Amino acid sequence: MQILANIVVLTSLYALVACGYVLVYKVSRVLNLAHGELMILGAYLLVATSAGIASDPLAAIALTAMFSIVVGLSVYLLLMRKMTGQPVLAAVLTTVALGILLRGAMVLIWGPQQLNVGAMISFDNASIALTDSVRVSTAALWLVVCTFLVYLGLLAFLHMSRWGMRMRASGQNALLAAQRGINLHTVYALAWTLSTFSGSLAGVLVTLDSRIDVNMAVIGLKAFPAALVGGLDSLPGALIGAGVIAALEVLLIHYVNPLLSDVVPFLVLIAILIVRPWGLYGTKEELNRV
Amino acid sequence: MTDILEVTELEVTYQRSIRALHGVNLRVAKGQITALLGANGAGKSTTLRAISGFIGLDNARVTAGNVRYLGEDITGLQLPKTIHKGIVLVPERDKVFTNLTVAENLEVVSTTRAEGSNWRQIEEEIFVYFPRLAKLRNKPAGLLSGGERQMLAIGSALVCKPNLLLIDELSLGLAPVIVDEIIERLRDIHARTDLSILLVEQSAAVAFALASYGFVLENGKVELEGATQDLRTNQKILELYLGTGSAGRADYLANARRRREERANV
Amino acid sequence: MSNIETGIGKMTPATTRRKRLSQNQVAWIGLIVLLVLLPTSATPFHLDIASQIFIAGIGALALMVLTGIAGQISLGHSGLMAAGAFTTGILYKEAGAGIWITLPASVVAGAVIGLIFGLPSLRLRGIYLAMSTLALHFLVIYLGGEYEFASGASTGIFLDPPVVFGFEIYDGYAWYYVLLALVAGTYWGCRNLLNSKTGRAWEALHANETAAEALGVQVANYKLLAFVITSGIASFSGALFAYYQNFVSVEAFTLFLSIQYIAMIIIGGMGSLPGALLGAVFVTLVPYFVEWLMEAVPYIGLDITTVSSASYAAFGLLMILFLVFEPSGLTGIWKRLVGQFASPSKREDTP
Repeated sequence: MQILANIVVLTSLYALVACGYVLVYKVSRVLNLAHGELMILGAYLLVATSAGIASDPLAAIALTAMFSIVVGLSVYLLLMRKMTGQPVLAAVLTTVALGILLRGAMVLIWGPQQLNVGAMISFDNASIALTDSVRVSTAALWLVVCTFLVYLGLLAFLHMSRWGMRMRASGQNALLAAQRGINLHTVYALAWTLSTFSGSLAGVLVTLDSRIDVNMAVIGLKAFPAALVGGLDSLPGALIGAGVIAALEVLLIHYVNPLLSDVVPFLVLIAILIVRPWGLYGTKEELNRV
Repeated sequence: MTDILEVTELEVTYQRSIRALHGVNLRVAKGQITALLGANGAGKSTTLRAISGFIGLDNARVTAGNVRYLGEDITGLQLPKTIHKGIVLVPERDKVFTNLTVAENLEVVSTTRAEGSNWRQIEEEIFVYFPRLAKLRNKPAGLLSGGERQMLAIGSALVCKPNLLLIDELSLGLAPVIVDEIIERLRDIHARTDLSILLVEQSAAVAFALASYGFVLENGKVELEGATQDLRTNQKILELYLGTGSAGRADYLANARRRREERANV
Repeated sequence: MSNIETGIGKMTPATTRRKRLSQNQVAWIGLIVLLVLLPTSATPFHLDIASQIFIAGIGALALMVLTGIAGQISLGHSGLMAAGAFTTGILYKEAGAGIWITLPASVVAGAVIGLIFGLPSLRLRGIYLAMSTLALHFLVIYLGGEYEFASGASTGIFLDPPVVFGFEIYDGYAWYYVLLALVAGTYWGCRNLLNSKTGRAWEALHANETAAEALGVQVANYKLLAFVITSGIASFSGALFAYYQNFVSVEAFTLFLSIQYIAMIIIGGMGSLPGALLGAVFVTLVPYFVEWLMEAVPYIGLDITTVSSASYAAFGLLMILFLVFEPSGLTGIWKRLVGQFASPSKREDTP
């Protein structure tokens, strides 16, 4: 049972990170390889806010969320906006470069050592007993709840709000979207903002549960196969993909070899790429567009 | 009669080197339907795209000539500014968002002209023009037939509240019965509004059924123009666009009428 | 030659071409002489940097051919280098093999892995291909780590200096000349390859795969060939790296290394072989430049992490600047400068 709880928590983490990939890819066909770094930046922003501005945990987290929106918006406006109309590959390499830049900058600013963010904002990460034998930490519980809410919110936004529909429309046919008066830059900026926001949220919650250092950005890379399993342009698909990856990872670590944990998502990735590159829910035609 | 659109000596170049138009001249009279005829590759779509505005991705540019709309020079104006001025295009291919439902296809439209208005009302208005769409409102557009897609595309263009509607290939690939229906619907729309329409067609019969004036484009230049009743009897048109030997096809309207009657009898 | 000359102007095109061609040759000969003579006035530190540049240059040439010429993106370059380094390390440690076994074995191992890397490219393009190579990178690194763990060499494998014809390549001078010869040989090989039928086929499938297929290019074969050849070279450079460092460890072959190689070909200029070498020079020098800069600026805690993270940031920034403002890289800048210098009147032609 404890294993099941662990799988659910890890699924939530991967799903929350993966939805960031999906949002940006779905709308603009750009794969954001800096997502892991942006996620960790969210956690470091919490460090900054808690140290400088807000001492109350909730206030600090709320402020961080606002900052992450600013970050996402600036990434698009200052950088990715210039790459629209360029080959997709150039845009992807730009995100690679952004990731490296952020990684270096974060170590320069916050240092290479591990930080205990939870202690900094005096967050009480007590272990909660769900049943007699199953325990999860407070932060992990928050993570599950937040992932659920984010997915619910995103699905509602994409299907019920007009701007959400415009995001779906632009992803399907950017030219027609422009011909129907939709401002593509607004749509792309929205996608980057939402993506960075959800990523930062994941970063904050995962570091509350452990400690933070820049190498945790690898979670971003490990969550990518989850997005791909689901087809890269499908939110429910990403959720299922996250479940598959998380379950395999937890089970293999527990029963086979702990060293496998870093490589499992990529084995799944290769398997998916060979068998069904468009993923479980993605559209097959996507492949020809890339 | 005043012209809503006046295109003079328009030249368009793709990718800095491929010239697609070589000085196109045409006018659209206000409140009228004008047809632009031409074979494949004659430059019809490029002309429409140049009027309705390119986007950066197109890698295309107006290199000479100008486009005047309501007396204002709008040469080289890009999307979405042209939309805000009331010029709206129904593209030839990929004309609907296939992953969105019919109703969503109408709702995503974003123009200052349409923003803030009552959405239910706008939708109902479009459904009055195209009653067929009302029944399909919750169906994904990807599952629609070609004719239904064309109706939806025209419908979503109408939501932009155009003054000038540009339609690229109204009848291409559609069954004659559907073409009849769309022609009827367009006439109805045109009768109810003061919409000006520039219609690109490969079928002269369809063009003559709707338009009052026509231009014939060949190799990036206008070769022929005139009122449709004059063009209808033009020998060259008969040969080029109605197919020689089957002069009977020229009278498309008669055919269309017969088909409608047949349908009514069923 | 002179009988083709047509007297268009005062200075005929043919004379300028001949003149520039010879200028070009003079430049190459000058460069080679300079490189051969350089060690006479170099410190061991300089020799070390030069050797690093040569190794990087071999790897960059391989990636340039794969990505810049054949158009197949790879994020797994570091994994291929690891494959070469580990093949060499394992053969040496387990069997005491010399370089005449280890180096060819590394090339073969690289080529085989390259074949595996290349298989997804038959179905996948762009982002998907990049991700599959990334996944394979992690797989190779995992296997290397497993070997280190299993063999108890959790800190890595130590290598003795290679022996060639009874001569031990140990000091900086020896390494400098050996690596110079190897990088020059690789350059020459790649150059010939590009001018061959194979090179033209790669360029065709880069420009438009469907069109190439229609023109009768065996797209699948040539794609795989590109992966096999360049992976062999990359693996070779990994083996050289291992010998040069006297040490093999997975720690050296991070994802960042792959990104550095991508940075080399972007900064150097996509599609240009000299660009790959320029990029290798540039990227290898960045950390030293950053360190020099940080020493020049009064700074308190100058430790290795600070320098390395500052280099990370500098790499990111440089890549972004090149991608956004100068997509044709250093080669593009160079060509423009030469163009302006040679014919100032043509300046208005450049957009």
